[in-house]
Amino acid sequence: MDLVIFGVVWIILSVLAEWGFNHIRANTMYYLISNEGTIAHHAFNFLTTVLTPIFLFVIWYLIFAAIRFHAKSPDAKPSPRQSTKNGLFTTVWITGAIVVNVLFWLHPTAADMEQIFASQLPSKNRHDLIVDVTARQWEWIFSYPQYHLTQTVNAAGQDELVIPVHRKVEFRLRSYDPFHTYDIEAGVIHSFWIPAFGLKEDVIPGETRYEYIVATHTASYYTNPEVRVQCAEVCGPGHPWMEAPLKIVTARQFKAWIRHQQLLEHVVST
Amino acid sequence: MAHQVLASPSMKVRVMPPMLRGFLWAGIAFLLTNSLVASIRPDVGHPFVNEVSITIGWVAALTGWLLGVGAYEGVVLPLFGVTPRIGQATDWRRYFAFATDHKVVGIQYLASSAAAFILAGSIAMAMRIELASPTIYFFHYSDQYLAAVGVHGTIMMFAVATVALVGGMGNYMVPLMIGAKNTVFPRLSGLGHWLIPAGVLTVAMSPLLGYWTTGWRGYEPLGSQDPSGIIFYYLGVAAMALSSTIVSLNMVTTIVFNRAPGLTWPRLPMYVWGVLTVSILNLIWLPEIQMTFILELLDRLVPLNLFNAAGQPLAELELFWLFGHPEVYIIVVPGFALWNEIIPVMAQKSLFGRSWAVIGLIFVMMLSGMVWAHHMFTNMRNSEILPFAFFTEMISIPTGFGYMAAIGTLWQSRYRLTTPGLLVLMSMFNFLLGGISGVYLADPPVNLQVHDTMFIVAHFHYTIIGGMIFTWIAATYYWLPKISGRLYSEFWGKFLSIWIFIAFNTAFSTMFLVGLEGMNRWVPAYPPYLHPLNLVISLAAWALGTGFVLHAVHIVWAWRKGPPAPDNPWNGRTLEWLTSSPPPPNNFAEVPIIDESFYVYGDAVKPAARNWDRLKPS
Amino acid sequence: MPPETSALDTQRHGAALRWGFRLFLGIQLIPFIVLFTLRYELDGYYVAPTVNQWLGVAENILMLASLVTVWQGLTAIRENDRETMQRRLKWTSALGALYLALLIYDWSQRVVPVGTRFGGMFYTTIGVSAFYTAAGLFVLVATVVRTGRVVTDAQNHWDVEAAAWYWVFQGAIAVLMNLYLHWI
Repeated sequence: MDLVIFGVVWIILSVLAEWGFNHIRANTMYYLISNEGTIAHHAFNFLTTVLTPIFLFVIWYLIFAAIRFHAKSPDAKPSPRQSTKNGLFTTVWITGAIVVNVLFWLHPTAADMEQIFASQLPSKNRHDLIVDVTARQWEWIFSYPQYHLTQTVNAAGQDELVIPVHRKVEFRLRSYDPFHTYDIEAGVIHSFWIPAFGLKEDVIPGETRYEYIVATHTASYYTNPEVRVQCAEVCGPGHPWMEAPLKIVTARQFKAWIRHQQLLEHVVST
Repeated sequence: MAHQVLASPSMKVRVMPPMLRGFLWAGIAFLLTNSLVASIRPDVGHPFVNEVSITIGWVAALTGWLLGVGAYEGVVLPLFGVTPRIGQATDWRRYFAFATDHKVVGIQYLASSAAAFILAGSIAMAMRIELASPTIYFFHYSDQYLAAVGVHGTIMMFAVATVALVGGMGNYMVPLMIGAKNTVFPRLSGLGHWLIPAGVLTVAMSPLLGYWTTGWRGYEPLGSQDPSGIIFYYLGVAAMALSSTIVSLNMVTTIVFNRAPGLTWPRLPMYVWGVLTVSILNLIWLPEIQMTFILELLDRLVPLNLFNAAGQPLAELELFWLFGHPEVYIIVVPGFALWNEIIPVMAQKSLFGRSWAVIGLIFVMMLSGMVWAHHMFTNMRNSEILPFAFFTEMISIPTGFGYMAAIGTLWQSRYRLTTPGLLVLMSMFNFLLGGISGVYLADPPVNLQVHDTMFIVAHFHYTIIGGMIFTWIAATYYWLPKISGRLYSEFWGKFLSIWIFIAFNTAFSTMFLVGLEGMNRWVPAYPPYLHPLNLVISLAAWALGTGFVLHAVHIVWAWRKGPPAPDNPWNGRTLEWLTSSPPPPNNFAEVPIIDESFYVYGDAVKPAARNWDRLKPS
Repeated sequence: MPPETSALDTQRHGAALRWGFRLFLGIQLIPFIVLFTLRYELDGYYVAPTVNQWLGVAENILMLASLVTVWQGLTAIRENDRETMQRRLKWTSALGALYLALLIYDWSQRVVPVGTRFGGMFYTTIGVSAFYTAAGLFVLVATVVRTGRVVTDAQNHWDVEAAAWYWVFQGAIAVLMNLYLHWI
């Protein structure tokens, strides 16, 4: 009888939860507008779909046990039912745990990693827009070597990252301090994170790291504050403010912006 | 033996209170050593108190503190074959001095841990005041906030989470539960406790030397650039880690050798299994992190170039997380064990799938050393990610065994929903959320988004507060009648438990959302769009902090003024319930002989010890 | 020990002390594994050509000699010969002190710069092992003093045994680390 009540309510709860989840699945990770962000978002939703019944099983069981099985009086009487094994339950639990975890490793983990690794192959990255990203304490410096731009800034003089939509961008990440008075190699670990892109990569002094991404939507910091470059690894007192606005624009707008920056840096003259 | 000396009152010698003497000796030792180092240091122009002199002076001060608090009479004089003139106190003073009785040491650890918890908890409250607003207003500078984060995390990890259920409850309960009279290394263990207050004070005072900003992980090369305060972080952690190493050495040896006759390995109580597995983890990984911190300290003081761009910045991260991930299991494994210790007693029902629960503990212990690099998905090579993601996902299987045993035991039981019983269910609920969010984190694509955000902060607070602190409070209520001989108030116990449960879940489930919405860690200021949710977290966190303090007040009240408790109020079957409350100095009137399981209930079961009626002192 | 303790209990207590002490020595290997790993990551098996290899050999010979004398001391007390044991332990302490003096001389030559990858590991690794040696010297001196004051014979010599084991442990570590950083 307990089993039936527990099971039926569990199934109802799971169905309701999955139904509810279906309504919010587009926004579970808030705002993601990149190819890799989409992978993360799908993985997140897949995990949630599978985990919801498991999660509800335990949570509902704990509540059920507290309601249904609690003793009415505080005196110590042995429970009416005594058992130390139940082969069926143990087998189902352990097999279930193994199956679910192996499944999670195959999909989404291994399948997604395969996709991400593939996107980083040199053969697939030939005509990218290259952005050199330099992390110093505490500033993100963006330069566009293909356009001979060494440090792009916006009208307020802040470092600004602008990239075109639907085009693969190769970020080259380095941590050193070009403005240091005597030791430009002095650097600490930073983490290059654009919340709206759904991934981050640590920037390590003495190493160059690469990150490839395609933005799928035009946006800017002023349309959504998640569209920003943010340092995610603690790097000293300036860490909270080590951020830079980001703009994802159309190819035309990008061209115009590049032209404007080149004028500013006197790469070209009017 | 030393403590017999006090037996005759005429021989009583007047001594300074040990802790006062410890402070005095520490101060003198520091002054002398600091002056010595400052005067012989070759480079001219350095300040009188400099990084080198303060490090060596600290070692001298620690030695002075330990000697002053009682190691001089308790360890050093016996080592040289001298019988000291002063023995150990037998009244309340024994709690404030070097002691060799495992029960006194256990209470010392519990008290130090609880004090550290309140201290580091108040720092968390200050952090939440700051985060109630998107701009910096409570702290003056960002590095003050970051130093607060570091002190909070370090003290919570090394003086509370690693200590309370092993050095505290473990020292008190394990010898009782295995029918031993004392531990194998009582002097070492007595010495070990006094490293905790020293370590906590060191870390708490670190901002005096300069606001260090790395948080509790001390990442390089930031650590070697930080202000000098980080030196006290390395030194304080070294002291606290040494304390836990000593506890673990003592616990493992005691469990292997001092079990009562008939207490075979298959009969070993669940909690003892928990302490054993966690002690093995401690013994492997604490020396590792101590050496790493010594290297970082030397890297800074000499200076060497081990961990900056000229050396290997990642090497430090690897060495840290090699310890860092087992550390989180060091924290929760005793908690898992305690669930299955308390549930059968409260249900008066045989423990379901006991061997699976033990296998779970052992496999968690073994796998915990193979998952560490999942803290570094953002800075490792592709080929290295997959195996670590694999083991990280697999570790939820043995973790689930503890749940399986608990669920099987609860089924159709007659569960007494007392305060410890309720807290155990709450702890299972919280840890489930922590564990489930861990499944997301194990998946690299999701991890790369939520790594280093408040999502992670929520995740590990769910496992540590939800899994360990809730269980610690449950264990305190469960064993309070045994330790103090008094009962607590069931109403206040449950009321406060529900209070902290609601406050905790409000604060930290909201924190998941803040993290997903793009709030990174280690920030006293954040973009304004995150303000409303942070305000919710701050209010709930304050309610949570208040709830913890009220629990502490209630427990202290019950300890001193609660109604007297019977020797075995829950009708538990493990050995500690067969002696009086509180237990006498040698624990049992005679050595218990075990010939029944501790986890079998029913109408016809006999007590686990054959001589159960002769164990209490008459 | 309470008076009612039986011989069996004493034996078991002795076994527990020995086992626990071995466990302690076992976990003291871990710091050296860390140093070994880090050196491998930073330098591989590179040894700076300026290192004085024969000084390393001389240090090792001193240390090995001290291991022989400490073991003779332990054998002597097992045969109930307290005076020989104390003499051997004093010899061991002297050899150990000499070893440390030679090590300090080795260091004071500054044959490798401290700030290099190899230099950093050279000084830290040998320094850590020297710390263990210094601790061992303290233990040896304490044991010599102690055995003059409390009953020490073929049955009661756990203190001598522990000191000897510790000395052998640190000696083995010191020899290996010297070889590792001077030759390999």
